Amino acid sequence: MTPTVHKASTTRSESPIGAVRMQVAWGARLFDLFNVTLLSLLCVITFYPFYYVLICALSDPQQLIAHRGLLLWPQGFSLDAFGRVFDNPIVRSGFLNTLIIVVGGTSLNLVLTCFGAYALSRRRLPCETALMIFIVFTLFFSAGLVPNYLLVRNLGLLDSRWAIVLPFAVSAWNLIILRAAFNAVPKDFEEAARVDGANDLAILWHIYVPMCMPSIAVVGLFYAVAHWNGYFYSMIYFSDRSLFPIQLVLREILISDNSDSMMVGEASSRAAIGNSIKYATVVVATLPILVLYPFLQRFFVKGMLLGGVKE
Amino acid sequence: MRRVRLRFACALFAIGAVLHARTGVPAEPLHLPIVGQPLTLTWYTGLPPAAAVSIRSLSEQSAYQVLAERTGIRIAFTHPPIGAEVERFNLLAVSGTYPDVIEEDWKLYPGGAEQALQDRFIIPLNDLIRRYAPNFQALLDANPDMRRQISSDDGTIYCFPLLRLDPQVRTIWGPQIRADWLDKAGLAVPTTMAEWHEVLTAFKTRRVNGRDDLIPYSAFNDIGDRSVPGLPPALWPFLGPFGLAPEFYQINGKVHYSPFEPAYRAFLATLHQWYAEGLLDADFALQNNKQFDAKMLNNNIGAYASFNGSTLGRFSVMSRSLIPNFRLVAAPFPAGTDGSRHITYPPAAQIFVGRGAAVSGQNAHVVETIKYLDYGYSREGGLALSFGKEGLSYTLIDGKPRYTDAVVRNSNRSIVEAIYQHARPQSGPLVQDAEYLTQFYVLPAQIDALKIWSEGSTDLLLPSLQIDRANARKFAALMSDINTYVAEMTVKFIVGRAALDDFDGYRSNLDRAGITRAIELMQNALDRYNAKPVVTTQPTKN
Repeated sequence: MTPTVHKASTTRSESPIGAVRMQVAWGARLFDLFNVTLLSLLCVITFYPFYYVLICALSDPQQLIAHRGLLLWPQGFSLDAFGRVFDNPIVRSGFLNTLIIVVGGTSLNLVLTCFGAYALSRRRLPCETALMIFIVFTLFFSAGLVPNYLLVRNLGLLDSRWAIVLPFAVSAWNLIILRAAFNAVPKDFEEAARVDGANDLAILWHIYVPMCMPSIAVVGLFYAVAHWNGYFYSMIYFSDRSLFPIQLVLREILISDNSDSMMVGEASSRAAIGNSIKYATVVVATLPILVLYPFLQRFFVKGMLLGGVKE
Repeated sequence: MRRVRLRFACALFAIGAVLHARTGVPAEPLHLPIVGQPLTLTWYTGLPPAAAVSIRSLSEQSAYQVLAERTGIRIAFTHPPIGAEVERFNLLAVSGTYPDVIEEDWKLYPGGAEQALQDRFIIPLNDLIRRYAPNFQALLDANPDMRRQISSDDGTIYCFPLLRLDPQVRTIWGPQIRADWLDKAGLAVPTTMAEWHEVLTAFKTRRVNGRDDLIPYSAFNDIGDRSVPGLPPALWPFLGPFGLAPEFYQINGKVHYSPFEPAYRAFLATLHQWYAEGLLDADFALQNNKQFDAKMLNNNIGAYASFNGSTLGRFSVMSRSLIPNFRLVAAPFPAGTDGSRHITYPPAAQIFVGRGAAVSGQNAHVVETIKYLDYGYSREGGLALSFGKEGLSYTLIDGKPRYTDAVVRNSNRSIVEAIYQHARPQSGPLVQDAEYLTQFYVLPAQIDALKIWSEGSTDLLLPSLQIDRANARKFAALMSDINTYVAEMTVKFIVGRAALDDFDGYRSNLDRAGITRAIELMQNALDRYNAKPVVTTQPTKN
């Protein structure tokens, strides 16, 4: 690879000045070439798993199982697996549950985090440092699963959506990001508003929220993605299957017939479809957030930058 | 808190009253309904994945609706999410509030069932069974082995188990071979090691699949399945002809460890020969079931050993559109030179595999619960649990239950999924019914397999044993090193990276690693098992 590039660059260098310039260009080109190759390779590596799951879900189940070696395109074509996935009532209710948790949970998260960040960014707050230490402490230490479980049980929240919303209503990390953003707003605004007779709520709503919108958006995204991806605590607190979010449903389907032995995959014309159902469920459970991500990424970069630089 | 204590006291009182009324009192015959006033019991157990595709809770099954109608007792099930059973069971144990009935694999409880009894998580049942469970008591009286297997060391019965009393329901695993290839080679199903060698060689040399990529014998490791260091399950049948069985086994009550036996050398020599001749899959040690499936459906593999349903049945059906003339049949466990035939699949000797429904220490309706659970072991109750509702999911033909077409010819669900919509024949507190199994296996080859694999003795196999608690940790530590070494060396001997002349050195290394101590501990466990009291009285607890 390198000699051809070298050759190409030397034939073009005619004058000494040109030679220097071309040499720089040559180096830059080599770098570009290397860069492009490496990044393309990385792209392929990252993209392939997504592609693999998609083509597996679309393949004919029996041909897929019989296939050996690298899979590049669907083996046959069948939408049976998708039919089976949507046929499963718990998949449908799972989507609805996830939607409720993402929308409801994120709204609650944002309201409480804004209140918290506002209060913590006030100078007149007594014991501010102590409070912050308390909050930062939770970033590093937690009580563990059993005390959490006992707490939720004693609150009577088992088998209630509140169980996976309330204990996670404010994330310490997001609170700190938002507090930093609020701190960066000049205090003159607050004083001016106060002279005009605004109370804390009005100041928060009319000044801080609009001015820190990018940070709030990114914090909201963090919350929403966490709610979307979350399955662990639903797994711990829920027994009522009609409450399961989609990710927990997905996990069940992925795990359920791993150890088939005698229990599943018995003789029937449906014997082969088990694997394809897994792939189809992954597609169904991932696609919505995957489609949304490119549009949201803009906020991600901007919001994090603001939060980071000004701290 | 006070209420909890009060409830606990009530439960204790109930137990006390029951204990008081023991000895000499004949069992009460069962009168239906069990309760005058409707009663709901809470019940914790995992939801079988096959049921999860159609129902949200086992109480939706026809079986439990039938039982509720007859007994007056409804069950409110609590199911952990599939795949979270262990975590949820542990949380349940520490939470301090228990449902009325807890059905789980009792090996999962930290410290085992004995600890669960000691923690008052569950209660001893011996006297309750004698007094209120005539059906279960009759089974106990008829099967001393069952009593040993389901009770703890001191003879305490702690759960109503899934019982695999009929040998047919335990012979669900064994060697399988391509019958169409046998026809091509003009040979019969092999029954001895010599015949196996002849058949596998013929497969290879006559290229019966018409290609060069033929693998006469293959093996794989199924995730979550029982594993034996270095030996994937498919190789276990060949231990039998050498008088061995996987890992620990017994000869007339004396425990042996097969990789430490001199006979293991002959076994390894045979497998090494097969490996060298290209009869054994080169990937035998590391292959998972997915890779195996691919080879199978690519027409590569001639023989292996595994389950009746998930391999024999599944491959027979799946290959239909892919491989013309594909025919898979069961082969018997190979016989030794002396003609003796051993079944070397350990669960074939286990009536009880660990799962059972126990009565929790906070159950306020102990007697009703016992009667309800006992009803599941009666003829009518068993039919309901295994077959569902008569007329809907099964009909009685000549006194034998047959699943209806709604179950066996369901176009949307596999047969196991269709059954679990109505009943739970392979996972509940019941006697597993061979009638269900013969319908569950839909192909003639599968039915034949039940018989073929039950030929042979299970004398070598051990019951499910527990090392005594004082030494359990020591045993685990010893075996962890030994397993690693045995796994490594077994594979090395088979593929020829270690010469069989080193076998004596290998044995002395095992000796140095403490294998004799491990065997001793296992022997101890077996002795305690054999010494278990089979009398019916409640052991006194201190």
